[in-house]
Amino acid sequence: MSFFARLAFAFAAFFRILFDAELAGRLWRAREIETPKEAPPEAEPEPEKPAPRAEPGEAEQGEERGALMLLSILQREGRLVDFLEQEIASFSDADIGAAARAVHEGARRALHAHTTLEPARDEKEGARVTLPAGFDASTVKLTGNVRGAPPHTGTLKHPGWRAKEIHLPKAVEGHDVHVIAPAEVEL
Amino acid sequence: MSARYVVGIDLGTTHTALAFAPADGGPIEPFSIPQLVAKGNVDARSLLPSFVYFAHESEGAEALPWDASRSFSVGEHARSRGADAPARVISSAKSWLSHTGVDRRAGILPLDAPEDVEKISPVEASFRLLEHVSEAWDHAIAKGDTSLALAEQDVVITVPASFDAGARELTVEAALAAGLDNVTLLEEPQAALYAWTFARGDAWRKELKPHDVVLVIDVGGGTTDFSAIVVVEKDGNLELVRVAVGDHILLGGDNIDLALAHLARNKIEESGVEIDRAQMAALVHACRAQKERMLTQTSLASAPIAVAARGAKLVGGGLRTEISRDEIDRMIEAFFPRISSSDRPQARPRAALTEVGLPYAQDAAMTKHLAQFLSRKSAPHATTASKRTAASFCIPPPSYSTAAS
Repeated sequence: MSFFARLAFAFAAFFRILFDAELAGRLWRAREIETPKEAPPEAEPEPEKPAPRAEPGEAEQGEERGALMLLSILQREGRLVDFLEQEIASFSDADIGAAARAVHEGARRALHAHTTLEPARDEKEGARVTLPAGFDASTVKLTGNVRGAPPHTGTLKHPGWRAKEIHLPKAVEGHDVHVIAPAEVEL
Repeated sequence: MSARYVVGIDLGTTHTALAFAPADGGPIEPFSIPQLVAKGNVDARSLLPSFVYFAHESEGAEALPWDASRSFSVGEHARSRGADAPARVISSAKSWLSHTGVDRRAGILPLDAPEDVEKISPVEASFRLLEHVSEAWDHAIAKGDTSLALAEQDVVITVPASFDAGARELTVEAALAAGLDNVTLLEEPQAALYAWTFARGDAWRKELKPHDVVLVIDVGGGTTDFSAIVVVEKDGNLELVRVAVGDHILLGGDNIDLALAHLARNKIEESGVEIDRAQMAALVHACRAQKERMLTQTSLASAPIAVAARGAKLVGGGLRTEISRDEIDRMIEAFFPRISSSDRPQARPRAALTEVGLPYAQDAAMTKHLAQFLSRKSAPHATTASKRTAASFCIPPPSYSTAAS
């Protein structure tokens, strides 16, 4: 994780931990998993060897829940999973286009409601950019004639994406996040 | 103990919102209201859809962080479940609160509720909305500190200017039931004008002069309200006094969307396809989005209306049609016709067998309702001054009558 991403995350985490007791509890427990020297020696495997865990630790479970929650939102609001899971090879562009419009409208709205995304670089596509020494390699990736020492001058082919902010609904206790969308039976 | 916050609640027909500021001055902040947004998902949103949904026993509890065993839900999930199962949801409780043709304390909602749903009154429905807002506030802000509880703050709730004394009393009653006994009612057009003067700063006093009449037009999703507010000079200060209010008209943007959806449905069904209830709802939603697009981007010649198939196969299964520029122009013309000031809304005779229902406007032409409002020479709505209503602003001075056009 790049420094700037960690900086943004640290700020977001500060407020979330302060106001969200449940998240704070989970992160506190996750913190203990990552400091092997505090773990009881007989239960913990050696820190260098990744232990085969029977189930994912708290932090991983949290990430999984977040990802499933996002999938669920994009399906509910934009039917993205329906779109991606369907075989589209046999359909005309017009048919796919019509479906893409519907997915775009709903999924975009949902994306904007839950995340704030921005380009990783501010310059316009096609602009000449100069990267100084020590530029952040996770924000910019070099392609083409990749050699030599910075400063590098090239053309911006894609401005990239950065998540400034993300906030997802909280799953209520007992809710199965693995059900991305319930089946519908009409009575 | 004195209140820490001043809180404003907009108890709207379709959405409820809340904003607050420190009682001793400070910036106004909107409150993101935690609510069930989907089964098992709680999120804080700036708007709380004004819907109450009664869960079926198969659905389990509508669990919230502060109540794991609730049998009904309020908010976004209630709204979308209401679209799935319309007989189990109460929408527009506020319109029922002002409906003088029914017993507003009787358990009549939801109208066509199935047997397992215990019907509630319009007052109780309004109470459930305020109860949710209060619990959400206490959960997110007070967190056990009683001095921060919503019941301890100075609360202002907006009501339409057209609400009669009965509807206002019932609103206060619903607030009291929710634990809010420190409530002031504020009329919505007044609130809108305050927001305008607040945004203008002191400049508003140069823009308005004594005897100026401000016409406040509030065309919402489901309702339309007209008010006339006059600028009065009192002891050297400019004050705003509401002098006239129209009827609470059940006509709004939703009607335009419905009309467009019927137009689209007719076009689709010409090809022999039938549209079911859920697809009709999706059609209305699509027409709303395209209506807004066409009215904003006036160079568009047409807009596509697509309704997706209901199963998992999204591509190739939907229904498609379009709305042309001509069709939308004619639709807007139907709702906002150019008329003369003597035109009045048509009152169609009521059918012999009338079901209990909301008194929707008989004439969809909003300009005719406006013409009727502007023509009124009679005295404005009498309202009782009580300590619950914002003092001087609900009693019109006797020397003013409705502004003549």
